Amino acid sequence: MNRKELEKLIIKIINDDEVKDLKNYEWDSLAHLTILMELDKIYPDKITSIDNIAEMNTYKKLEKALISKKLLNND
Amino acid sequence: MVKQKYSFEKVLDNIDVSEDIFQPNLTTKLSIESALEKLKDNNSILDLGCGSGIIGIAIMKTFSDIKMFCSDIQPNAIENAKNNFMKNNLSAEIRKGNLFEPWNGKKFDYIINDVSAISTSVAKISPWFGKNVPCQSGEDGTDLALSILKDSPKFLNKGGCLQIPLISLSDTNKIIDYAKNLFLKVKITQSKSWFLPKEMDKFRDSLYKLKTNNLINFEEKFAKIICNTSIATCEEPK
Repeated sequence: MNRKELEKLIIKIINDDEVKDLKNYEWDSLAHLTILMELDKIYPDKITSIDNIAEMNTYKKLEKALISKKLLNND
Repeated sequence: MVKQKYSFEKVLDNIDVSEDIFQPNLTTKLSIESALEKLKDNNSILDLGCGSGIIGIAIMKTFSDIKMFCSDIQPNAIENAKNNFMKNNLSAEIRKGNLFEPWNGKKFDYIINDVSAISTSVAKISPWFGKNVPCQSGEDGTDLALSILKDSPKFLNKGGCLQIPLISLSDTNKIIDYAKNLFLKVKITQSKSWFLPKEMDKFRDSLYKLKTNNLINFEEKFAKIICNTSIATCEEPK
């Protein structure tokens, strides 16, 4: 998965037209769970093993965690 | 005729919710969304266990020509709901009483079960029930739901529909099985998973004990307890 695909997935789930700056947007826990479930489908068993993944409800935090586990292309 | 686009957040912004009554949550939101999909103009609607009145207000703000009836066992909720309907320039018939008790002899097109639907033990440790909010739904959270299901056919017009919440912090299989025994058409209309609130994490052992005894259900993933809320509609009483 690359950054563009991650952004697309998040935007689809948060479904908030007023988000101007996704990188600094903090989404709610319902959206976060949906995002994690979707990522879990793409990377079975890998997402759930990331420490504190349930608390990473911003793009920056999630991006950092995914890169550290080599699940997001760092390009 | 649909009046305006619905937004849960906007409705919530335009009401006041007393601290000592049930706090609107995801179940409230899904209940509104399910009802909005199903309702038609001129319908008479009963919101059973109306709390702050949020469900009725959301529906009336979206649909015109709806006749709204609300009831709750809690006097504070009745007062709160009346004030909220007034604040939003809407009118509803609001009565105080337990379950269907205030509506003897009346029939409705659509009944929304909005009463406590989780295990009493879970309600006590949850953030949704204020100090004085009653939750007499039993250890498996089904007592009130089963009572409403049993009595509802008497209060439904021909072609009417009962809507019920199914929260995994109760024995949802028992409720669904009971509903299927009483109604020909039982359909899940909404479903959403959610993280158990952080403040309930400390009660993990008690929750697992209830789960082991098949009184509630949840899964653990991403190092968190995940629950589910669904909404079902029940039509055509047998």
